[in-house]
Amino acid sequence: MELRSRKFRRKNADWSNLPDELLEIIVNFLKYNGTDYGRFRAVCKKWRNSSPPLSNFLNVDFPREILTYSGRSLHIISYVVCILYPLTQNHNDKNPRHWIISMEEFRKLKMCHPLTDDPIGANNSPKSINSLDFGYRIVDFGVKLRFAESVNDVFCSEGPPKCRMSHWKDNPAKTKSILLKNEGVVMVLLLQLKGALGTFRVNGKLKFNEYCSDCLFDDIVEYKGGVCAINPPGAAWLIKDVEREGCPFSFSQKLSKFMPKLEFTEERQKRKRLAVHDGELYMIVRVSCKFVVFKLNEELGEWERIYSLGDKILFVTYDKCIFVETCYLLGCKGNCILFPKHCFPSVGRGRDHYEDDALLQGAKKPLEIGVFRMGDDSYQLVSSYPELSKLFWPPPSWLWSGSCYSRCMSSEEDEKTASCGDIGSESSSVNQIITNFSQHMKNGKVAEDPSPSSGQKHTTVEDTEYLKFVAEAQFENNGNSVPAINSPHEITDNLATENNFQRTDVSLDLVQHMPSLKQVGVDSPLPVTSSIKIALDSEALEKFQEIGVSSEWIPVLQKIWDKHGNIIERHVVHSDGLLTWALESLAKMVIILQENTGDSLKISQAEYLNSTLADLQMMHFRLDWLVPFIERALAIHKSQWQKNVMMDLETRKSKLLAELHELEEQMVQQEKLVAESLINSALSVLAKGLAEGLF
Amino acid sequence: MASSSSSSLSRVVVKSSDNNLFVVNKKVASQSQLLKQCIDNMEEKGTNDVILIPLSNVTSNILTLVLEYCEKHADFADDDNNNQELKQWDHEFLKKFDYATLNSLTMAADYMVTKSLLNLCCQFIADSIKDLTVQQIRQIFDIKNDFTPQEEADIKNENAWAFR
Repeated sequence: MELRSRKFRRKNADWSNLPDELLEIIVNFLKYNGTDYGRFRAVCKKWRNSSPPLSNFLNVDFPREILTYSGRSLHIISYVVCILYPLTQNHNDKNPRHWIISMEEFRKLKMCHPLTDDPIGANNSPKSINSLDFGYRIVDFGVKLRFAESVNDVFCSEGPPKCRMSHWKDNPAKTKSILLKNEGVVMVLLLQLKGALGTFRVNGKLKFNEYCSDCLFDDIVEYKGGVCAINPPGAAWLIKDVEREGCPFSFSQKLSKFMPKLEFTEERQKRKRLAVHDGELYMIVRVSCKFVVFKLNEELGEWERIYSLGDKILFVTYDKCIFVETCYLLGCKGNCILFPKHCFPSVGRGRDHYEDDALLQGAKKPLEIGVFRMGDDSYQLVSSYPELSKLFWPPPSWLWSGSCYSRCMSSEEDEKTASCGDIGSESSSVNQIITNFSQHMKNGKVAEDPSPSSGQKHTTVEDTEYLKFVAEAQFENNGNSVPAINSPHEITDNLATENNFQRTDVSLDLVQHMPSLKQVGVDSPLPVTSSIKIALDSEALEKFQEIGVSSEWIPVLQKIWDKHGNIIERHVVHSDGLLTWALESLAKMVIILQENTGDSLKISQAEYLNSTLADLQMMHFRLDWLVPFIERALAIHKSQWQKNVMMDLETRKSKLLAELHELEEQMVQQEKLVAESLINSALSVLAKGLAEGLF
Repeated sequence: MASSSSSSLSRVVVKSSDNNLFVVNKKVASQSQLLKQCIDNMEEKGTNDVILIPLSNVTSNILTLVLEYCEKHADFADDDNNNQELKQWDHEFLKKFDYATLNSLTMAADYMVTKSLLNLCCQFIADSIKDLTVQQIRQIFDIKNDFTPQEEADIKNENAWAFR
């Protein structure tokens, strides 16, 4: 009998000499992850020569080029949402943070915010990273269509035909594309055209076939080898025969009936969203007070509402909904939904009622994320959950070395840098802002110097950590340790000193809280939030004390005026818009105080009270009557928070004690076993050789 | 003739490199393309004797493992709906071994042409690379760094990914 003959090493395993065909199989499992592939090829010569160098980092198959009839070339590029993690633990870093970002690759890599897709700073981030030092876990993969010279998706840069109404025009995602691998077809949902659907072939020249213009869909996902599309009433259709023409309703399979009625009615329907996880299809619906999640029961053809996401977190972006298991998210609790603002636009005409504005007010850009807990239907800012907010910002220190930081500290001026809340910013522009700021103080002819409060007001716990982080990064170069900045007061003190480095940090912090400062200009160099714009747009503005104020706030303001007189007579504000904002904020503060007991005050509300009070004081509103109330509210809130921390610590302690107990029991058991086995083995044998008496 | 002989052959005997004999059910043996090929050849010849297949490259402890795998997969050969349980079993199966055993098992799977086991081993190897640094990979697989300084520099360059 003839068996295959090959040199086969029987004794020591020699991994560096694996046959080529085996290495090839192994490489195939690694080639869709650039860091894994890179490290595999860096192990030894044999492994390196078994596979070609990777031309693309994210995916070997993309970007891919397609010719259009006009001769322009179109590119299908890939992007992933992924979790970056360090491979080796830095000794100083006991709890290495994971970082979730979105990366797209078109000649070079581009890092974006995972939910909003905003680019993460051009100036402050490293120009390159060493992919041998970290790993990434892909949680979602997708494709986008680009012309080489454009940053916009292909079908939105063409512009919608005039005859058709543009739709959801504020939504950052204009199109959504799905590549069907085995068919070689890309399906595109044109969101800005009300959700029209069409396809084109990847091979050959670009020809876009739109299905009929009456069949409109809210969302599409890849499902069971085809595409599942959902229409506005919530019926899901499975389109398998993607290249057919005409009305998709006529040739696709209906998966579900309409969405069941909810217990609350909504004036305006919002866009419905789909997600696929573990082969199951989900529909996510937003009503103003909560998120509602349904799972498809395919047998019954019905949506079944689910009340818990289990150990999963749902990340909602502007074009996708992604479930991630918490085991990949280092200490984060599941059963919640993370979302950027306005990610569920309304279907009808006119301006959306944006319920997210109040929630996300005051959050800095990378952390402008809401968290909805399925368990108790509560909304919070992501910064209320330190472990979740760390997933997004700041970037983990292990990703690049200290030298990159010093570079980004002195990078060029860039409008975006400030508005994106990036780490880096040009120091002179920062100084200018400081100058504007202090000049404004002088113009106001204040007796008491408000600057300590201005330094203090925006400094929340996370900011302190952020400063610490930047400070550490800055000093890594010298190998010196840095005195940790522990409290807001210390930061204020630092502001007072002439220490240039510290001052830069603090002022950066201010920039982040004044996103529209530059646009507003010298006219009103004071914190301005997006609510100004909304208030000005609103038709419901009425006059109060000759200042336009939304009518809903007038009763509250009237009461204040009745009791305390004209508290704004000495104000130093030049812009009407700002006054509107100020008065409305004042009313909001009073309402927050009225509506809450000390216990029910949320972290975001407490922060709002604290920072708004400081803002209004800077405008020289007379608020001596309000201050004691806010101080009391904050004091109660703080003690409540500390109680919670205490409880947390106690739970942890009891857990550890239980573990200790278990361990002790195990040790006792083990001791017994050791003793037994000693007795069983003949003691005489122990003393002599093991083979004694064998022959 | 051929049909009668094939029905009579329900078992084969496999001999390991260290001369241990294993009696293997034909269904189990046919999980390995190499064994299956041998059985088919013998049946065509119409032999009624017990078939003995010597495997000169597989030691008995590794052969035991391969046969354990084949036995499990033969049980599930007819119903593909039970995939989930089998996957779970596969996953647990490889976890038990050290890297030297894994190496021998991979080579044996390749030699005996047990494709699914080979894939499983390779995937396992790929997965175990995933969370390790290059240094750690060399350590667990006991591989010497044989690059010249110039090559090292090339590798470093190759893995520095530029951002827009």
